[in-house]
Amino acid sequence: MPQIHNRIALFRAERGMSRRALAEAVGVNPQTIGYLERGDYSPSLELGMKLAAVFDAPVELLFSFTPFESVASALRRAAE
Amino acid sequence: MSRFNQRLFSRLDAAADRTGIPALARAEVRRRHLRWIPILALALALGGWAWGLAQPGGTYPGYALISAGFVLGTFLPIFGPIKPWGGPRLVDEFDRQVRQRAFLAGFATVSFATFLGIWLMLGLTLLDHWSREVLIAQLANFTYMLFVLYLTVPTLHASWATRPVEEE
Repeated sequence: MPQIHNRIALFRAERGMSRRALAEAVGVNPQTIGYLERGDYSPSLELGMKLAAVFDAPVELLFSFTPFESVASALRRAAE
Repeated sequence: MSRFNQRLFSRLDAAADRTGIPALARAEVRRRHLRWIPILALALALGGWAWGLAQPGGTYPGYALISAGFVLGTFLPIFGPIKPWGGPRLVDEFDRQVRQRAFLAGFATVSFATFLGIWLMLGLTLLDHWSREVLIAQLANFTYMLFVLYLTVPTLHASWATRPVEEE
């Protein structure tokens, strides 16, 4: 099964949201958010869409089959 | 209420809290990854069963070892990472997946051990000419050991399959 990469930690940090607050918003335990962020768990479609809805972002911006570009390299590329 | 009674009751409350039973009743038990206790319980149970097979005349020490494994095993579903069915705590999709995989591993282990154990005991009965009493004692030991497997393997699987998430 291919690993699903995600940007949950990045989106959460950007919004200053705690794991607990995000977990309550999507109806899971805070530990589950931790497992998701660490990439140890691939969410169901339902949970993925709930997370995308909380961050008001399309699902493909939050999840990907390929690793996301790091923020530092994206900034570097934007500055060029 | 006098100050003496107040102090006495608060001390009694604190003592009761330290036992962990009030937290159990409030379902506030902190579940954690138990990686080594199931291994110890399994080692005791398997060791006890092996002892019983090696000493068919005196199975009591083996039975005592399996009992020690059983006692350890009974605490695993309470404090281990697998959340029970129908508990008051939120069981989300991750918890359900962990539980499903852990019990699958547990049932597979018990099935395989049963198959292996029955043929092993049948073979030993024929080779060693076990009496009816010895065979009954061996079957009792074996069933007891299978129950310890059922108690410990799911927790063992769940504890090693995932790494704990640190608190924020």
